[in-house]
Amino acid sequence: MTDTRPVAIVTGAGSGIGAAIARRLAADGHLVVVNDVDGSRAAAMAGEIAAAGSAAIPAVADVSDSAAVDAMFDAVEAAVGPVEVLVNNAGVGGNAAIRNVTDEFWERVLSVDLHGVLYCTRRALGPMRERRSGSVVTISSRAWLGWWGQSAYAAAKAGVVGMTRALAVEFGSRNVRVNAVAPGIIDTPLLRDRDPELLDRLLMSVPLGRPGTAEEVAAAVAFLVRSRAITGQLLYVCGGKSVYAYPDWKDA
Amino acid sequence: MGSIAIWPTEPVGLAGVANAVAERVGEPVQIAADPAGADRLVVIVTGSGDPVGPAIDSGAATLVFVVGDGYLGTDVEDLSGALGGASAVAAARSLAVRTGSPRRANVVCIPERFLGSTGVLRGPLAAEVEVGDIADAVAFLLSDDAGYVHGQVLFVDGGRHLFSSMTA
Repeated sequence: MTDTRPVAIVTGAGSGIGAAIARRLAADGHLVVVNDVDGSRAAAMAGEIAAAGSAAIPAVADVSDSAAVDAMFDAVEAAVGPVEVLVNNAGVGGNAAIRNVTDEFWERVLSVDLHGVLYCTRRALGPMRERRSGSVVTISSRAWLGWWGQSAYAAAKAGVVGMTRALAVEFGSRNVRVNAVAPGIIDTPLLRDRDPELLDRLLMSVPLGRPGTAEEVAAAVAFLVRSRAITGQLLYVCGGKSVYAYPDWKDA
Repeated sequence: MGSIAIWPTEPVGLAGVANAVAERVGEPVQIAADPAGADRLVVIVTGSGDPVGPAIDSGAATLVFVVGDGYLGTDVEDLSGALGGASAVAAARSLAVRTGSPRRANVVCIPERFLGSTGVLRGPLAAEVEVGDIADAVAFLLSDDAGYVHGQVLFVDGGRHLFSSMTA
């Protein structure tokens, strides 16, 4: 029997926010393609979702390699049919004062966080355009508004906002929607490793006074995926930090 | 979770929105005569924003303002709608950085035609915006799925907000 569930590719879904998005979209009735650059993590997450009674398959590819991305989409389409939903989640962090932003550092952040979104989105949109149906959600970041040490990361995350808005305009007449989610401080293993005092100071910039959860980011992604009339939206999931971040001033 | 109310009323263009929200959240939604008393309050902002002040004082834990997009510059005919939208957005953002009540405040921004204007501008999306789409967004912002969404504007407009600089 053919699986009639709409296919959703989630990049960087082996752990963290991407894993939460994969679980949520699977629970909402999608056949989820769990992409990760790490094959064992992709397989483990797809296995976990399948064991919970939902549908998922793993797919290994480095999103910053356009040939690998094209090959992944070819293989997915051949195995499970057209891709209805793309969630661009894969990313690398990048915290460095500008004097430490080397060419290599800049290129690494931009290659995954911006070029990777281009490669996946460009490949996904072709068939969506033909079928006049599809939804793309890209994970940006509240950091694009500006924060210490974020020049490269903010450039990439601002880049995806511009790309999202341009493509929303470009593909609206084809009934393809393109949206973005901008998380603030989210409770991930990386955050839990922070110095508690530093974390407390960081949370002073968040009106809700707590970090968000990966599940709350996933819920916002799922809402944009299932909406019908929303395109080009940048939805902040940041506990109000984007409204005004009340910074703890420091020198460069 | 407490009661849900829509206040002050359903404009003609949004007829049925209370029932549509009720269907989506699986709870009754009252069309209220008074903003006080509801735990979660959906405020329909028409005119130059008269409902905004009483909504702030209502004591509701969760606020969702529904505004027209005239404040983005979409409606050249009706300046008062622009003032109402701007005041609700300013209120939601200011409430967001204030601790205490409400716990969460957000805005759903919709084409002015739902609130009585005759504007015909369209967004890039081929499909027309329907009342059910607006109810989807309101229901999301009332729910725990939006538990970390605070002080934000959700544009349910087929993307026509994209042509304004006030939207990122």
